[in-house]
Amino acid sequence: MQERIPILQMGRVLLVTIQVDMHDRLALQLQDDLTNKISESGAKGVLIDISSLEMVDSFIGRVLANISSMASVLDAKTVVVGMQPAVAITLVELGLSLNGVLTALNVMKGMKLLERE
Amino acid sequence: MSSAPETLQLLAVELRTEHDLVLCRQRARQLGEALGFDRQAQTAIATAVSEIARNAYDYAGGGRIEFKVQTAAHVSRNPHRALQSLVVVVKDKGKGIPNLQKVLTGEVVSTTGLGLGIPGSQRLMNEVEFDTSVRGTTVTMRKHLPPLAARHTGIQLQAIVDNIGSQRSSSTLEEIQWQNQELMRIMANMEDQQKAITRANKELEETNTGVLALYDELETLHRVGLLLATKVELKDLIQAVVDATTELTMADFGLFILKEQDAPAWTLIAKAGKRSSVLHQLPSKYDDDHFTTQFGEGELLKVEDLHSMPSEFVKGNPLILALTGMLPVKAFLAVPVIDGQGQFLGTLVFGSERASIFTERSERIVSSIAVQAVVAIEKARLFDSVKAASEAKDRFLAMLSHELRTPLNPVLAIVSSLYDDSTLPAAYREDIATVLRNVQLEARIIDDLLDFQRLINGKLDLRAEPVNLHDMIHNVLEICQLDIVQNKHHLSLHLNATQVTVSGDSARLQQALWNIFKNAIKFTPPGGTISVSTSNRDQNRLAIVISDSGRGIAAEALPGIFDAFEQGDRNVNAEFGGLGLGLAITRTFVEKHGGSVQASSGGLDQGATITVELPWIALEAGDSAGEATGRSAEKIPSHAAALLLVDDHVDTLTTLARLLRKRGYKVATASTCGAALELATTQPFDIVVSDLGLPDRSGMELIEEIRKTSDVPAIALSGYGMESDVADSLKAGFTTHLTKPVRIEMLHQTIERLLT
Repeated sequence: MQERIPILQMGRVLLVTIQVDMHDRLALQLQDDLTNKISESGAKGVLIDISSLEMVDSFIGRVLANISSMASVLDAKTVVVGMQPAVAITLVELGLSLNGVLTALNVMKGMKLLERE
Repeated sequence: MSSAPETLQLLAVELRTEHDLVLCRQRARQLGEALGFDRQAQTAIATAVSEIARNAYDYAGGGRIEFKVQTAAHVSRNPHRALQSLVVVVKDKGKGIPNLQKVLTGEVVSTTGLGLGIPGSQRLMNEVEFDTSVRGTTVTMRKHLPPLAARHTGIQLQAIVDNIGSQRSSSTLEEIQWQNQELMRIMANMEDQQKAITRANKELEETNTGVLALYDELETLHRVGLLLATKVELKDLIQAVVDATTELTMADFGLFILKEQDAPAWTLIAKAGKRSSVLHQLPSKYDDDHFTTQFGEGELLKVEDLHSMPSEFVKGNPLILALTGMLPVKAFLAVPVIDGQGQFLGTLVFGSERASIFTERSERIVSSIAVQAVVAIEKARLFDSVKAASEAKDRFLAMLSHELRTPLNPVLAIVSSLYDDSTLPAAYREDIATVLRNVQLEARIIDDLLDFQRLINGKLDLRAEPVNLHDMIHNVLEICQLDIVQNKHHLSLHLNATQVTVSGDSARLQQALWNIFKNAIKFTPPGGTISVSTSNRDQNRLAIVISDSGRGIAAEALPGIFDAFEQGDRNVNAEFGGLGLGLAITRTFVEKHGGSVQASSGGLDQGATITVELPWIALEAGDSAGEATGRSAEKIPSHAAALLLVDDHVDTLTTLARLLRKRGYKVATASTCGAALELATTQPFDIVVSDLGLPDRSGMELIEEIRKTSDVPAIALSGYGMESDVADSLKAGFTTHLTKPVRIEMLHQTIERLLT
């Protein structure tokens, strides 16, 4: 049984809601699944909802940055939405800037951002 | 006032899998929450723990994370306000962080994270300490509890831990998912391990088979080695080698062709295999041309399939040509047997109808056996040469005694006849008695030599008849009487035994006793005492004790006194003469009669005592033990019988003829076989007495010729007295065999016996 994070397709946008504290393999799996799905579906946008995540460390941060870069290569924009304030502060303290990763406060704003892009 | 900080252990997480990594950062967040940290601090703690724990997992393969609460020493007067910290200790047993300083300054870029973990953790926590070495790394992180939080007591902390423990069940599904995954991973691992075990088992099995085969080989070699060690006959030994190797190599046949020691010839000495009828037709002799350096005389040669070899190979190897002419052979194995000096002893040749039958294993075994065979063959050849030397010595001794005896024959005959002649003056008779005694003595010495020869060859047959030992003692003393009188020895006799009859060969027993008496007389100075006593002190034994007051035996010489050619010491030999065979013969004769003989002495000049013990037998009514004493009345010939006497020794011939004529026989003489045959065909004889060694033909041939026409009784007269000699002459046709020198009385008695 392969544990996976579900990816939902809504029109030309792929929506991923991370509701569990991901272990590293799961994060890498998500990275693979998403790039495949973008390529398969020709999606133009990826929305990653991390509102349930209470912690983003450097590894998860890098995975998010990687997803964004890969999606960009595949002609898709990535927006990370719902980051908790404590997580954001911690990321900054950690020295992780998530360069190139678009962020939005919530899913709704994220969708709008994608539409605009 | 200050004291050491107090530390309370909360919980620990063993870091073995990625899931443990998730668990430990969850625990960090939960503990942070329970200890009163705000949301931001909880995330910071969880993130820092995640960073450091990941390093331990990625670089050290795992570790252990301990969560503690440390209460600082009382720095404030109010114990409720004492500083408390959450302490997280991450320990691993990895190889340490090699460039910690660079990592701390953010100069190192990680391949897995972003190189931020360690320096970032320092910013997220209040204190981070690194203790790193090649044996492992311990990272201790501290986060001070918020200043307004109440000091936690041990009880409260325990409650926090219990509460966190119970929270685990809140995400049961997740937990089960993890566990399932973990289980699958473990199963996959186990499968890998199982495969590895199966592989290892297979390898082990192969090794085992190899070891067993090797053991089997060793055992076989050992068995063959033992077999070779037990054989001394060359032919038996080589046959054993060929039998064993043919079986081991699974060959259809095996041959051993032995190289003659000093000739360019080879002999097929042993063969084994299933086609025995064909093998028997193989020629037994081969010359050097049959062997080439390629096959037979060179290195070990294996031919997998003769058909795949060039035809020149077969033509160029005559031995293969010879063998393939008689046997269907495809595979060959030729193993040269070479000694330590590089000399060829022979060649082992194996053949089979099946191609490629000979394996490396068979090569190895046969080579090892060939080496063992070399040692065994050398041993066998040595044994043969020793045996030949021993036989040559025996023949020489037999011939020597014959040569020594023959001249004695007429002397003994004449002297004993003169001694018996009562018409001679007394003065002459005394001289003649001396001559007779010495001639008898010399004859006895030669007899001893011959007897001894027979004894060591085991060719002595003893008769079993009742013998009266008292009579025999008297008889022997009578023979020695003259010596005793001349030496003025005092003789004392105490013949107290009541059971005095033993079963045995009277002549041999008499000889045994005579040897002892003779020694007692020889080694006792004039005027000394010799005493003889008998008793039945042991229930079934007759003991004869001969003591003297003579020279005695040194203590160190006592144990070997009955050994051949042993006379105590060299002075004895110089002073008294003799061969030192007497007591050795005595012991052997006595032991062959089931008895024993012992010597004792107080030392030199203390005299000696020899004790002979023999088992006595009850004498049944009608038995007579008397006739064994050798004394019998002289018989007068019943009629004037006609004798043909044949001997090439002229003195013997004329003397014997004269003495026999004196006893009333009509004697015709011949000194050659031809002359004897001529006489035998022209006139009838009542008896034939013939020497065996005649110049033209042997006495054996003479009697064979005579036997064609006549069954006249015949006496063989020979210096050769071995059992085999006697058997040979009886086989040739002689009625009886007498060994020279013969006293005329003995010959006379034998003739009389044959005539009646």
